[in-house]
Amino acid sequence: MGKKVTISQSAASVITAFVGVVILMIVFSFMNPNFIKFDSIMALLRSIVPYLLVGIGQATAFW
Amino acid sequence: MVGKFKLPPFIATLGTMTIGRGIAQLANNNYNTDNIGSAGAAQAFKDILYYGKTAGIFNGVWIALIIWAIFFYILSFTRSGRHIYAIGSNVDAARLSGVNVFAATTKAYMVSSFCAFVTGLVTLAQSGMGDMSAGMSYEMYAVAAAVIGGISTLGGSGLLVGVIAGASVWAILQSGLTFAKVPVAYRNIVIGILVVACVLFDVIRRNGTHRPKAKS
Repeated sequence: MGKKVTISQSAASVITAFVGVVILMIVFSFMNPNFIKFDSIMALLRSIVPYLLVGIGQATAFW
Repeated sequence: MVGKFKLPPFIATLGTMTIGRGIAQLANNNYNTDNIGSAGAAQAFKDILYYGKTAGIFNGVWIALIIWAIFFYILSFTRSGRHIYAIGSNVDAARLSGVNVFAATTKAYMVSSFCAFVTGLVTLAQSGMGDMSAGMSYEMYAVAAAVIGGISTLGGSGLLVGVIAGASVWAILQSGLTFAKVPVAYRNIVIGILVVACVLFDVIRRNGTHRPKAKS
């Protein structure tokens, strides 16, 4: 029983991570209002690209 | 190597990465290549992969999302994808169920290497040259994006959508701490703690609860 991992636990991890994204955005925008300007958001989106790509590969390898 | 000879994945990854870096250093005597310039094809390459925009969003973002969607479909709705999940969950049970473990393992690593290849192209488009120091620590970024997004390092669980969240957390932390003028040393400490905490949380969760080793 203890080792059973359900899809809901995986979903909970994802939701937690997305909540983390929102919290970090709020915290950093309070620390520096320039953080949530349009250009900063666009640059941030572009900076996510390499992390997302290598993350997809790593996730597949972990599975 | 991992599928056929059961080489530990981390050793295989770090070993082949070092070999690849060595070959790259040999190819150009450990110097960065010349800039690919901004003439016709070179500029088109940079625009398509990094600097250009489509519908107001950088092309790199679209490329990453399309690749994510393709692999989400393959891993969730195809037999090969289910086999990859199955061997991660319980390799012996998967083998007894008729899954070709070697083929599934090979496919998983092909997906991984394809993603690394596209990341290399994006990095090349960004810098405009073959940079000998490019991609340093990306193995750590890869692990971080996956584990923060809830992908289990023990295999067999996690959702690919989590990688979007994991990569976002990682990028926001890097960018936000830079905006906040936090020294690099503290940045590394915060980010390292986050990764270790995520893996620790996953291990404890997979074991049901933390059970200290019984004294003999």
